[in-house]
Amino acid sequence: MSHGFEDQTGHRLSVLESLELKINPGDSVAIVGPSGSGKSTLLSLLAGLDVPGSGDILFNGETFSGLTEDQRASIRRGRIGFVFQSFQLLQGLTALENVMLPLELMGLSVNESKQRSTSWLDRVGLEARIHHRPRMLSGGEQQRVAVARAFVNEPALLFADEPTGNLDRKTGESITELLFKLNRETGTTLILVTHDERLADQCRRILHLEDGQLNEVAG
Amino acid sequence: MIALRLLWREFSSGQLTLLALAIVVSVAAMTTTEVLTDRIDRAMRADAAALLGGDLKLRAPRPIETEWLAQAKSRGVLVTETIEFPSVIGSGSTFELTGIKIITDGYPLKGQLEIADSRAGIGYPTSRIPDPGTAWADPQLVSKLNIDVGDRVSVGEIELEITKILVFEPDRGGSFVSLTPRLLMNRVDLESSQLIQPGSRVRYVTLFADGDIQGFQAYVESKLDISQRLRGVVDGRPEVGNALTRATTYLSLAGLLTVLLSGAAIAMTANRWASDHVTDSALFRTFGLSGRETFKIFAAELVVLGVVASSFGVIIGYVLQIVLVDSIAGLLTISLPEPSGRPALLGLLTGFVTLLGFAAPALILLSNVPPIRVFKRDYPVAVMGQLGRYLFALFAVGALGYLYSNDLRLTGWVLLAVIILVTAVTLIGRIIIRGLSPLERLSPAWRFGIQQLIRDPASSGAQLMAFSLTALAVAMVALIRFDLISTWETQVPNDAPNTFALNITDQDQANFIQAVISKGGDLAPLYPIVRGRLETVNGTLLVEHLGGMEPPGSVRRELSLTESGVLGRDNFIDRGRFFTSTDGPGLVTVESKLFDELGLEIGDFIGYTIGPDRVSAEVIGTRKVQWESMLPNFFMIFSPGTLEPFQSTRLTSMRLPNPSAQTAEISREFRQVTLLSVDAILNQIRGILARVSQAVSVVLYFVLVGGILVLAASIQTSLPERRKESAILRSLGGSDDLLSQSQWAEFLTLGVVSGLLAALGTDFLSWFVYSKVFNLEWSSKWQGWGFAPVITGAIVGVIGRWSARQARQMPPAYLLKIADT
Repeated sequence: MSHGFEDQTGHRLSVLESLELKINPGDSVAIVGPSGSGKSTLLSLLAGLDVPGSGDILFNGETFSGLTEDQRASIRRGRIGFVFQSFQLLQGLTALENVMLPLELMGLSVNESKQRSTSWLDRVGLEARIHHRPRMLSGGEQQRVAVARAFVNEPALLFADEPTGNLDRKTGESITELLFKLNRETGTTLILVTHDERLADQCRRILHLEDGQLNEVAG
Repeated sequence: MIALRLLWREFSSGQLTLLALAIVVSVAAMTTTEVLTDRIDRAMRADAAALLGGDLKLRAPRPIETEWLAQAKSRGVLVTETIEFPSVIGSGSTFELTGIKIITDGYPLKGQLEIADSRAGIGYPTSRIPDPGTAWADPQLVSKLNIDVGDRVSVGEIELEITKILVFEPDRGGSFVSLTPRLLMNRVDLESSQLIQPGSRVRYVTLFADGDIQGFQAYVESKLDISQRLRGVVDGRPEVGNALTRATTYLSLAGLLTVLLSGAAIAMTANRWASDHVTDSALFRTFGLSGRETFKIFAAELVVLGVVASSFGVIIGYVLQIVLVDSIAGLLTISLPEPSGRPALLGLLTGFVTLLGFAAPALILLSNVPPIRVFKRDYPVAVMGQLGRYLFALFAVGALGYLYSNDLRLTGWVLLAVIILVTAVTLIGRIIIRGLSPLERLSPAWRFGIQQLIRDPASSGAQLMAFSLTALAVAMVALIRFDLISTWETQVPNDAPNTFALNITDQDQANFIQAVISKGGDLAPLYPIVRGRLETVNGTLLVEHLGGMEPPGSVRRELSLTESGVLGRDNFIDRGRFFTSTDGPGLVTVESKLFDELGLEIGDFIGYTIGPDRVSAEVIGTRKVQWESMLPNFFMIFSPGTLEPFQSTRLTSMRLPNPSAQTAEISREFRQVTLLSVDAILNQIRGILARVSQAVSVVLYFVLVGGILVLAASIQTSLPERRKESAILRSLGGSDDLLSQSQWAEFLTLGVVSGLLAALGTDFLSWFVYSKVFNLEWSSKWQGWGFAPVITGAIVGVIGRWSARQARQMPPAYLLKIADT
């Protein structure tokens, strides 16, 4: 697949050129590369948040091309989870309520959502802070909430965009550790974009993106 | 439901407080003012019905058709028929042309007769009518015939005993100055009196009330012929009516302004709410929700919030109206119908319409957020254009205006005024903001503050608009409130006359004045009164001049005419001119409304018959008359000398310190002088005005709260941007002092400019409202140009800096952290 944008003068900028990539269930893949190389663009294409200019992306044999945003959303539903650099927690909701959200949106009862979310917050080590709102939590704690939220509906595929990018090194390490521990325990496929070499090194495969080209560094 | 839980969670975190408050205030304002106007209006109608004697009055030269009576009966409508005609009444050797009225049991259907036991007695209401063989005479008749209770008068072929003095008769038209003597008698005596003969000018007046009165009215209206006139309770008593009409108009206007202000607050807080949720919306999409599902969640949140907040508003509105309206109702001395459910419905609708009109663009934005926004914060979101937003808001304003006034024309005016003001404020505001750069040289703090304004003209323009329109609305409502109340106070001052005196003869004049003054009374000027009937306009008969239309009531009978070279202080000339000392006889000024009803032009000649003589005069001006002043007032005032050849008596009004006792004393001394006490009416008007003033003040508070909400909303909206910038400034080493002063500079400038724009707008708008809506005299409030900028500068400066302090007092690291989330 290929993907690009038009700049303000109408000039076409190519971001990704003729990429071919296959990721197997249970894999852990790191996408690395310099700033502005299109890592996040690639991630959003893989997650079906956007469609490539040309080519196709298949998820479990289902194609994303030619589908509307809503149709792609229904493919994502319950099967894809996200962890973001800036956490993206709802500020008005407590930690518990943030984790409950995807379950509630899928139609689970409040009680069941609460049970499952509490147990996931336990697993990320936040059992004492479940009723705190994001602003009362440290960056590391907020990211733990985000991780719990990403895993709570046990997705087949988890995307993480610079999950340690906003954290200090020590906190970043503990998040990395948590992410891979849960990845192993649940068998989720993990695709992450990072600058953090330590984080990338923990993945089974490392892909380097530069000048629109993707090269497998290790795997 | 997830939306409900999200709503509750957001609400308990305080994110929705301002939005909810804006809805509550808007709905409460609408409900209170709506119930107030609705009930005052109904009170006025009921009052007017009491003055008409029923809900409907049919006047005809022949008895009512039996078919109509059957219709009335089948619709449950009450009916009573009276017969009126002029006849000469005698006592001894004195005779007087009198308006006789024949009534039956049940009269009047609405309101009550008031009678007194003797000439000098105090009037009291009664539900009785004269017994057969007796009659009730009014003060005018007894003074002209020089008789009292117990005397007998000859009426046609019979004699009747006067048993009561008739003090007040509900359905008697006309003002004090057009009184003809009145005798009230029982229907039973009509035949034996043989008063009605072929050729008698008899008027059959039938009163109707209750039941399906509207259906009956429609039925009768379709069958009326040219000789029959049907009158409903549309015009109440002018003295009370004018004050109340203005008050209700004011309440509606102020209520609408409050709703507009809260609407602006709703728009701002809803936009803030939406931009806070842009990322959340994108997040929902990554969870696999479709745009429709996302829309449903946010829409459900807003709708539920709207219902709950509107219900609160309605409850507050009803509680307030109970306090306000019931006290007014007590003063109207009539029973008010219970408050209807309509204002509640209207209140809820207000909530929805404002929310829909002002928050819909925000909602639409939320359903269109592409999920990729979670990765790319700068990914463009299809925002509704400025024009689209304005159209939505205009739709809301229009819908509310119409809901409120049921008047398309007024709604059109309000819309036009809003468009003009918004455009003018936007344009002038931008020009002023651009011209602010010289202020940057004052100090570094001023530089940061002013740059903040210049850098983002869209955002500072929006704040400027919010502040200046708020200041304008508050200024308008306050201005009209103080002006209205002081106008009322000057119209019905505490020393307003409480007694009218009629029939003062030339020889009694000096003694009468002396007597009143010796009792501590204050006299208005004495006017000579000559009775005459309007016959011709420019030489053509009045009926022909009006093209076959029935002439207005006040000229259909003999009218009290006067002459005077001095314009009364409660009169003002609105067309043409008043007399000058050089004018000779033969000129006339006409009351404005009558002038229009008669289709006159300045320069027309009108002809009057006075007894056997005729007099003609040129119309040179029209007068607006404040009937509620209780001073003697006239439809026609001739130039001095015009009425000199005719025999006249004098009329005046006066203020007596102790009217009930003193009128009796004066009556005994001057038996031919008729005294009419208007103390009761005066007290009623004053009482109503006092209550209405209170109601009007409450609405002013609503507008103030609305204004504060707008201020808070607009500052809250700009907080995230401010936090970020303060954090950057602080992290670059900017001191707290610098930040504080630059915020001062920014808000002070915004406030001063808003004040200036508001003063400009207030002058323009008040001119329009005063001259077109309230018919009040307008003068430029140039003082406002000086102190409005100072006041708004101070208020916006203090509140702005105080609300934005959050952006200053937090450590930069924390600020950067929340600025990023």
